[in-house]
Amino acid sequence: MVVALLAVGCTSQPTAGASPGPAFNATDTAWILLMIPMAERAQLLTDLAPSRTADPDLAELAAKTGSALRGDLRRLRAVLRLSGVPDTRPHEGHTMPGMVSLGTLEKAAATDGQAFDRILTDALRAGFTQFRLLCAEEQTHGRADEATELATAIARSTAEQTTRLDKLRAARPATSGTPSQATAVKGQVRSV
Amino acid sequence: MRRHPVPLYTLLVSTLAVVLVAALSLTVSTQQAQAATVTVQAESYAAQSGVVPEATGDIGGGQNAAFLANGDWMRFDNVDLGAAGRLTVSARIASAVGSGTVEFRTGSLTGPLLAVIPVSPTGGWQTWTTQATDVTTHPTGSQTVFAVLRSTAAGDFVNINWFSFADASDSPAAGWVPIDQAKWNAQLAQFRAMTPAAVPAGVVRVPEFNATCSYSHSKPDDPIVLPGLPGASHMHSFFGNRSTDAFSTAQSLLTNTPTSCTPANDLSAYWIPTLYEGDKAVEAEEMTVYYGSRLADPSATVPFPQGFRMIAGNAKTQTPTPAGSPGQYWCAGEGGEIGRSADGNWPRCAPQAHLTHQLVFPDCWDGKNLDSPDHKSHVATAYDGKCSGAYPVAIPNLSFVVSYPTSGSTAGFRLASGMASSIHGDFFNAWDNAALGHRVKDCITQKAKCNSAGTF
Repeated sequence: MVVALLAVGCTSQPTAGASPGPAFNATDTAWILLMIPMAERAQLLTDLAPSRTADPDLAELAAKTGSALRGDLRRLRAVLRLSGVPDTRPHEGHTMPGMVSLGTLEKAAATDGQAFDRILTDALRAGFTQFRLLCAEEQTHGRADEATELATAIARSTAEQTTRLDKLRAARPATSGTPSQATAVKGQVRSV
Repeated sequence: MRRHPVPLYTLLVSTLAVVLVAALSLTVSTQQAQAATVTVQAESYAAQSGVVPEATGDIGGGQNAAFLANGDWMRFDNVDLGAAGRLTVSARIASAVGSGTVEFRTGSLTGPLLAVIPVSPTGGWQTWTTQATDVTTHPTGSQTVFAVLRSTAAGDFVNINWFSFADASDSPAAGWVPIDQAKWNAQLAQFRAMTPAAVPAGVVRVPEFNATCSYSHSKPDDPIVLPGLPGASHMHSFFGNRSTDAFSTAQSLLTNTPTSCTPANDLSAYWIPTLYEGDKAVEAEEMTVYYGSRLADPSATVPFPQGFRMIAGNAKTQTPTPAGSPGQYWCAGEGGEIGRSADGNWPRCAPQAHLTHQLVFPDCWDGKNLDSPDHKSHVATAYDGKCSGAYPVAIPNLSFVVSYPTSGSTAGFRLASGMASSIHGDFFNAWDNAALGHRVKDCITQKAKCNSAGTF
């Protein structure tokens, strides 16, 4: 609590007299403001894994992904502060493609074993696919180096997580996606 | 139905927090000698209506103002708003249900508008979040400040713990898009020089014209909220300019002339979340975009500046909309509404009646910015019939009236953004300046009902 308060107190102050920041364009800031809640939701889901999955490989993947998401979130928030754009949290509670929905989180929390594994792997796959799409667009259309470099890093680590997930799924065909999940990956929104 | 007692442990937490906050302010004040921040505890009002203080669970402890509903207000005396220049106005709010705004006015309950803070659910009556907005023009020095609560629905919709007023840097803050003053001056000069057309006898004296638009296309894109990020958004149904996508700019809209609207010189982009019945998208048979005025005196209304954009509604609001809820979908046509969907959130229409919605946009503008970080803070809704204070410029009162070729069923519908309550609309202005100017002058400033050709 002490740490949190100090952190908030120091970083929320206006940076009077600071040199002009790097040139963030609208794509940079829109990308950051979307990535933060998407990573937050994905992390809420991976946090459920240790107490719900019976599959040690999936538990390990969830732990690695969760840890990567925490790192991504720290860096995304740091770049947001650098941009000077207020954190209006425009997508909190939003229904967005690839974002773990509140309904999915509720379902995941209420289940365990293979049913949980299926929810987790399907949601992670949809999330990873969207992360890679968003990071590729940010790399192309963003302007500030701090943001485009972070997009490159997240795209790389997401690709690694996807490969691990693919291997797990290949080993356990029972968790393969249904047609409706395949559609969700393509970007259509489903309210679950 | 609301109110949870504040747990005892918050008292301990608060004591610790107060000490820490005090220590922090000392540190901060030495570093930030010029950036003055005035924090006003909500419960420290000099006068109020409809406000009940309660113990707060927020960091810092003490009390918050609770049970706040439409029309409630608080008065704070001797609030130092500092020197002229950009001012960041913040409110610490919590809301379990409902939405609305906190208006700040100076001098009196109906005095000039200082700032407007939007409110939407935060997750609970003691789930606190800080909402901020910037204003570029404001009264200076010691002021009497009124906080006035506005909501279109009955019932309590927000708790407030504190407000703050902070001198911000004079350079435009990130996320704001300042107007090109020379271009705007030229657009205004052209508008002021226009001679109003004579209004024939028998014309209905209602300030109004419209653009009548058919459905154009759908994309998971949003050039206002997610520019440069195609596929990042929930699905949108676009009307007007046929080129609208994640990369649209004022310039691209003006150069891509095909539009689904009448008149053809309205190249603006209009969009809403796609409506689904089951898994099938239902596209509107028509969107009528009304440009009107609800002000007591519409004669001061000016056209939207070229490239202006704004959003109405809130895609994040996911709350039930039972019969009688404000701003909800209704049934237009013979027989009207014959019942509700199983979840109660959507109307069921008679066979000849169609699902319909009207989305109303804010009608006052700060006169300085084409856009703001949340795409709303540069505009405000006039609840007292006039534009004032930080939002002094009367703009046409835009509204989207959308009708769908369906009567609905007990299964109801869903929006790409979620529940019916998440309905929102986006406007990106790309009218031909002369065409828009003549319509505002002839129809709105003269209070005369016009058609989509801009004639009587």
